Amino acid sequence: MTSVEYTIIAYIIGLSLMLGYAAWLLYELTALPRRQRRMQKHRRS
Amino acid sequence: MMSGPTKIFLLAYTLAALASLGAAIGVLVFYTPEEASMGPIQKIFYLHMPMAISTLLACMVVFIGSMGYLLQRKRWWDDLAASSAKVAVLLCTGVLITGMIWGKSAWGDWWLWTPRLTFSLMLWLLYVVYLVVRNSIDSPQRRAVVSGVYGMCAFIDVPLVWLSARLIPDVHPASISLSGEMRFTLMLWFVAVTLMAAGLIMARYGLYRLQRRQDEAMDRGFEVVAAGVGGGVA
Repeated sequence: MTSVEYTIIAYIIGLSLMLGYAAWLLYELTALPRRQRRMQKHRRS
Repeated sequence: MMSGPTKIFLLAYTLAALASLGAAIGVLVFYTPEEASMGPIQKIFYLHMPMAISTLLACMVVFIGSMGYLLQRKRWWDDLAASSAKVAVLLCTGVLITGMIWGKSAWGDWWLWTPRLTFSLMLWLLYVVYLVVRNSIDSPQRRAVVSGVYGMCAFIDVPLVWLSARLIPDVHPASISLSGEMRFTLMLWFVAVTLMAAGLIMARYGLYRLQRRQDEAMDRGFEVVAAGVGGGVA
């Protein structure tokens, strides 16, 4: 592998770690209140 | 539940972090010159170093959160410490992987047992164990106290990582000289990575609080249901 390929792989791994975790957190932050509302509705019925 | 201003802040922060990251990538690809002796592989440095500094800062937040909890016994300090520990492990993983790729390309070895690399691996292990210990304790109060004491002890490795390359011979240089363009790129990557790291800690912290509120609401619901059943029987 060339040094350019090594560099690209390093950036892909490093940024994927941070962006992947950020995406999961944002998803959970928006999904949790929805889940909570659904559970409350279910409990009321 | 998230309020309107919180949603707007979350959106604005996400956009700012992504914009700074986009700018940093653009500058890295189109503007930053290649280093004369190492060539393109040296460009890993612009991600590797800001991630390493952010790791140490996240560890410092774990220390502050742990100390805050042990002094005041308020749950939010513990939530802050736990959020920072998760981000510290994530960033440290990135630092180790990018460093290994750099080492393989530049020196032909994935790993060298030099002081800084060894202390960095120790740091990663210490904070992974922090998370394992947290997950293994059921009682919230007990978990917070044990994590608080452990979080303060684990911080001992941070100055060792910081000082190792300065005091002991290592593959990492004790100081670096960069051209103006390189310094500008490094500064941009510092801003982007720090914004992302701080955002991850805040988001994880917000998620802890939301989960807590949901658990409390569920507990209240069960109490109401239990009281209703009890009343019916009586």
